[in-house]
Amino acid sequence: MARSASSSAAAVWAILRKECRSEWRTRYGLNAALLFAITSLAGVSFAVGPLGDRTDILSGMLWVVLLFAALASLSHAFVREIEGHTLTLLRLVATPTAIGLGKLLFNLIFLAVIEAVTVPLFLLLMGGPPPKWGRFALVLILGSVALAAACTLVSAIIAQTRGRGALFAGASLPLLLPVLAAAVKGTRAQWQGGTVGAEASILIAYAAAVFGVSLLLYDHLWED
Amino acid sequence: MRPPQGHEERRSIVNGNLVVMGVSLLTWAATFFYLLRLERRIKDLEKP
Amino acid sequence: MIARGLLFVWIAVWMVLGFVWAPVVPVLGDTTRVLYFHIPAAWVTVLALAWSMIQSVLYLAKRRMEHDDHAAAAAELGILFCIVATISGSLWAKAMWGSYWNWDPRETSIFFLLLIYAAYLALRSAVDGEERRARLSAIYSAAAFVAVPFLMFIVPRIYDSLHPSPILPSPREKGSMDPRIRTVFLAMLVGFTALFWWLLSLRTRFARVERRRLDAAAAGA
Repeated sequence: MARSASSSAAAVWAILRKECRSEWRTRYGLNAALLFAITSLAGVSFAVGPLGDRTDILSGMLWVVLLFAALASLSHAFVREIEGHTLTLLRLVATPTAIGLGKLLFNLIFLAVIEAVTVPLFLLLMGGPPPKWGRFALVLILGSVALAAACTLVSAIIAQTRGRGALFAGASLPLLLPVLAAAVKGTRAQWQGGTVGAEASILIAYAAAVFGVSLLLYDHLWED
Repeated sequence: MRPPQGHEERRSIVNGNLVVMGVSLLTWAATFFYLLRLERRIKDLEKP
Repeated sequence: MIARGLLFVWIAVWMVLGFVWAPVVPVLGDTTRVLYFHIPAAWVTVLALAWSMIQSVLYLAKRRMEHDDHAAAAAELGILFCIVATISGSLWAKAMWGSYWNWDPRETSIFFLLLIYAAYLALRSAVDGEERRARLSAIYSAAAFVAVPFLMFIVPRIYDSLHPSPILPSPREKGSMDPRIRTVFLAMLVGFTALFWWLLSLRTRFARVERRRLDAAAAGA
């Protein structure tokens, strides 16, 4: 039992390293995602202007921009696999669950990199009061984890269809609405001086639920 | 003497309700018979 | 045949009674009648979604195409009833409270269900191959199932403080006040449910016949 657990952990780690390495080799996914995130942020900032102390709109806009960034970039991990025809090879060497986990961790890192650029830019461009960093970071991290979990699962499904980009966004959105609602409320709360405990719990619960269901479903995903 | 305004208004409101009811009934009847026809066609297709 | 006739008479009679026998809810006036259609439609929307998701899980477990037929048929019917519920609700909101859409908790929930249905059907249309389509859409259905309790119960509580809902009495509470209104309402609920099961059986029977035809054609070719 212990050996299979450690060997699947090893598989996940190996997949993660492979993902990072192949992404770093070309970086076209990362570049495109960063460009898209910055462009949508610029568009929003240009259209709306600095928001001063409208923390309710600020929280909403922040998560809309992050949502766009996620939808534009998180399907990349699986699509690259399909287009490079490497999925079959991957399935030979790892269990579906290990693949799913490895991709999820990769997507998390990917999203973190994008947010590291986008979030500070957002705070700079859109104005707004300085956030309560602890609570802000908590909501940001938990929200991103939930986003990544849902998007990874959906992208695994979509990668096998003819739909790709638009279908990925459309299919992900129902699963992302709970995240959006809780994350926006939490971000707003920390700006308006409240606590984020309730929203944080919702985000954790949702991320855990999606992750748990993913583990059950990955085995069914790749059968042919 | 003119009849009080209320009577005329009430009559038009009652008529309006009956019209809506009639339209709904007609719609339901049309839907129902369309579905019956569908079922008949499916039954035909099901015969080997 | 008798069952079909009974269904026709049942809905027709209760429709008439709703207009001429049951009183109106004071606050709602003549628009009271909308609730005899709007709420049962919303109920069928939820019922259809539940059935579709259960059948999806059953498909993943048993891999029998009947389950996929049911999942797909229920989704098609569900989105139909969902559109009816959304539009009737929106028109009702406009007549009663002045605006077509407010993102109050119930409106948000029904819109969310519409999104799930649309995504599910869009996914199905994008997959080639019967088995793969059944499997992928079943997986998506199972994934969406996770979001439903969050969006039906938890998010409305959040939205309550984000967007104050218009100050209005819940129509459902009002509807249960007068026994005549409640009677017609429950009867229409039953009628709509029966209608849904009939439509579902028609749709699944058609799917089965289609498949038999395609299999026969493939075998013959």
